[in-house]
Amino acid sequence: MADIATSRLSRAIRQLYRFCWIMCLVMVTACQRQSSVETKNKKAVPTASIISNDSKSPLDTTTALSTDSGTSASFQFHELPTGQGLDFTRFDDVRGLNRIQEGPGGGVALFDYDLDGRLDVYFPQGCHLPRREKTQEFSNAMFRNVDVSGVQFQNVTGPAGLQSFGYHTGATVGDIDEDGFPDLYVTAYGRSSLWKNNGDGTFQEVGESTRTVVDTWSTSASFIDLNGDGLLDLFVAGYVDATDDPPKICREPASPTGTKQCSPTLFPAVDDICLINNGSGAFTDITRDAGITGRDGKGLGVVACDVNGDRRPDLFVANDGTPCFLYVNMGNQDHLSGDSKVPKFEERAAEFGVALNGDGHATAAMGVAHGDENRDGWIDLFVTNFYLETNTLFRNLGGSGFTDASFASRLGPPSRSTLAFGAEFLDIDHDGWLDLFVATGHIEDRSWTGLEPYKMRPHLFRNDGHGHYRDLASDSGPYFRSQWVGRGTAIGDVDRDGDLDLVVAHQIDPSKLLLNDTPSPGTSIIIKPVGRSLSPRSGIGVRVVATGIVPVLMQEMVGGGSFQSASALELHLGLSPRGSFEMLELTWPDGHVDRCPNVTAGYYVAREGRGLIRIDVHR
Amino acid sequence: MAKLQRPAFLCIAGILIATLVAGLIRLSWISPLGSSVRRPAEISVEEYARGKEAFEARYARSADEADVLSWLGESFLSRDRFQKAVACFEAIPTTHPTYGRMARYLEGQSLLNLHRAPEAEQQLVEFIALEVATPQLDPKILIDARQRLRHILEVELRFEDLHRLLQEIVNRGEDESHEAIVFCFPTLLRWNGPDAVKWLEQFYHADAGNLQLNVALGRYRTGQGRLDEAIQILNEAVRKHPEDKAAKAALIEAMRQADDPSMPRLVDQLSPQASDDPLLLLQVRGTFAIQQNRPEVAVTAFRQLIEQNQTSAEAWHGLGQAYRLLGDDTQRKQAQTMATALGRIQNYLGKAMQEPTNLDTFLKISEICLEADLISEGMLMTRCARRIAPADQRVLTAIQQLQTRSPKKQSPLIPR
Repeated sequence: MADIATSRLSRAIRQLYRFCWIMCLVMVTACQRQSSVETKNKKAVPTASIISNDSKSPLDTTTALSTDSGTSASFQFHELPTGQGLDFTRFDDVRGLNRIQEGPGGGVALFDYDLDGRLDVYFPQGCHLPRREKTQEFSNAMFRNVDVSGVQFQNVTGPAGLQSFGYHTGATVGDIDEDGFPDLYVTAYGRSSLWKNNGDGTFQEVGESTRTVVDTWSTSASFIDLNGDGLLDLFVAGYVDATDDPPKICREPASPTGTKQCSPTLFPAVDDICLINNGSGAFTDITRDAGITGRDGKGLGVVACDVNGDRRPDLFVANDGTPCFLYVNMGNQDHLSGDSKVPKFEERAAEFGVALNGDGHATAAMGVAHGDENRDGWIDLFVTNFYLETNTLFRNLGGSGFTDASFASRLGPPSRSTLAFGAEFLDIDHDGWLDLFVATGHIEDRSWTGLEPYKMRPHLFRNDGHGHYRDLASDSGPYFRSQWVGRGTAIGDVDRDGDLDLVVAHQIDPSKLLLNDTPSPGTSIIIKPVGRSLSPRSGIGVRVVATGIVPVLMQEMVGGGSFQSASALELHLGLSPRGSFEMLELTWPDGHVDRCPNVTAGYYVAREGRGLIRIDVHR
Repeated sequence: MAKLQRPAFLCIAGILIATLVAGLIRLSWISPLGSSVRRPAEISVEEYARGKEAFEARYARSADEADVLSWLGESFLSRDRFQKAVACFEAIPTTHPTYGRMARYLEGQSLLNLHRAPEAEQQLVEFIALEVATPQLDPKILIDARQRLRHILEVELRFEDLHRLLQEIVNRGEDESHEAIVFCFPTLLRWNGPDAVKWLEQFYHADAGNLQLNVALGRYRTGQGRLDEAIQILNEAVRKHPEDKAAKAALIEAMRQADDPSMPRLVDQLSPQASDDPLLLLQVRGTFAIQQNRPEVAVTAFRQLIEQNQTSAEAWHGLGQAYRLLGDDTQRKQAQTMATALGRIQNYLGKAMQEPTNLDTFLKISEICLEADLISEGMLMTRCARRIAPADQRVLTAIQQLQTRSPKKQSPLIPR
């Protein structure tokens, strides 16, 4: 009873805290129209307003979207200068042994953990191998964004209670207990962990009590409501079974160290794990019951989104060297597992044309980006692959399957000279078309061969709106002219200037925050969705469509994506000065639809059933 | 005077004839073709003399030209002086009863070291073909010659010729796991690795005018994403050899990957599908037909490709796409199941290549083969497994399962 009372009290305090924050930020003026189109670089967002779904305003055009791409000849990004507090270098214990564990590196999570309206950054960290040594030299790290008007970070790992040691790999974010505060799941080579956000700036590890600990090698993970009960479930991709004590070492006499990294083909695969949120503070493993039974999969990337238009989230798993999986969600099964409804999945990657690339080969798939890159209303997938393979763009054929458009889009050939991991679709220049960032870098230093580089230049592709991409990286700032060992990648508007910034987790070198300075006449709408009732509070699964415009402009807040990383739980729509749309239509995971006319550029909170609430993120 | 002159004439003529006959008899007895072996210009008089001296010291007999050149050739080869070695062996005709055949093998070896691949191939092929004539040769040498030839064909991406060679190796039971894998799954392995490219570039620099090397270089450039270079090389190859189907197929593939708008025009100019179409051309035909939404054409192309290469992932995958367009769900599923099975096999092949004595891997591959009805390939994989562990019960069970499943399915290409 005392526990319950304490819990209620803490919940009440958190509600109050949240309420205060919202009151500070939000000024409500119902149905107020914005008469001006702000430029995207404008820092201050004017007075807030609610754009209600009950509005009867005429469907006049207030915001413009283009049907063709803008005129940007290049993108512009600059690195967050040193001294701004975001100082993180991953430790992978790379010391000439070339163990397979050293290859995939780590990811990054970009999320507003303290609900102050600013995005914070979390990095999972590695450690010395073998893990039995339990060294405590390097910890996972949380950096709080503390600057109201700019970007300044503070390492709050200790105060937040997030100090943790181990060979951690990735992170994913979602509000598992519906208390409004995003929680954090951290994957690992070894023991994964779930960090419950206490709502007071601290976290608490609840892996054991929630039964979410995975003890194998987990890489990417995704929070997503798989069974439609409004609670976030968890899918964790498993990689390979490889011991670190002693590690398997592969010999290569010609190399300076006499070793090379063993291919993942030499290790057995470990299963992916599917956990259903019981709503009682614990999860149930339903992997087998749910039909998550793909064989030999060596999962590195995962994205949970609706690929076939049935409004149920499906699961795509990027497998390293083995056919990828697409678990199509067939709806809930009749029987129950404990207190949970169990969804039924069918592995149909081959049928949907995403198991293999267009040549019929299983690629060494690493990460996966998602987005409606050709604006046909369906989510497309971009899978990053190994050196000398092409990355694969799978274009969605109206929900019936996918076609490999790697060559037709011109994304394939440039990727043969790189080995890619994290990737994100994002509209960099606000022309309404999703551009593409790809982090690259070899799994080991093979530069001694004179044939394969270790560090590589990242890709930054511009979508021309006609189905083609061009790599503009070399003209997009000093970062893109340098070479890195890039791994996880996340996107979000860190400096709150309306455009999307990038965080790239590196091996060897410090990780980087790249702030977007691309000049553009366009603007943007950023929406932070808040679900209720049978939609997860984090808004994961919500889809927003700008109606009355051809081609369609759509975004879905998916679970997972990229590589071992989590992007901000916000939707971003680029707006061009040309063209127009009638209203924004938000379809929530529980089927509820909010229609919001008269939306102008700015930052909004979307509350299910209540429309958009405009907020000033700089106050 | 006339009386005196006639006997003298007859005497001189008799002596001349006797000398000639004796000379001929000697030549045919000692060295029947010795007169056709001449010291090549690349070998100096001093080198020749030293070689002759060394040979005679070693074998305690007088050395003729063939003896000396063979001796010198081997000596140069062992000292990596390949140019001189080639000159020596080149001077020894194949018909030479003692040195002829080995000269072809050693010349091929030397030429390969000089990266003169087409000439090396010619020598090795000739050497292998002479097996019937001199079956007493050490079989290891023959195996080595086939390995070298395999290397050339692999580097040059000549999968059709490679398949024929591997067929012979497998038929003879001379295959090691590498050969068995390449034979069964020729297109599942990565072919555009940096080492292969390096080899091909060396071949190309030694003979830039060779069509097959140009085609291979174009394909490697395509595989490296250097499409402008690829198209330039292949365009030139097609211009010079407009009837060469392999060159045309490689060019079309490069143009497809470059999203080149003139690619369809080139496809339209292709002759109708024929039984001698190379694998790449069939793949190109099928892929393009899918793009053009002509699934029937794609099915025809991919089916022929599968007849020639049952484990073509490209073909099964393409076939699945074609049947999807045709709305034939049964055939689509069958093709996609096969493509996925090959994708799973691909993963284990990497392991089998790196750990050729890992029994479990070969058993796993044969298990997937069984699932996918690739009986012949499964049998060959169990053969590899049996070599690792002849008495292992799992191996015997796997063989039995494969035999039981469908003995008639066994490809005539693969021996039982």
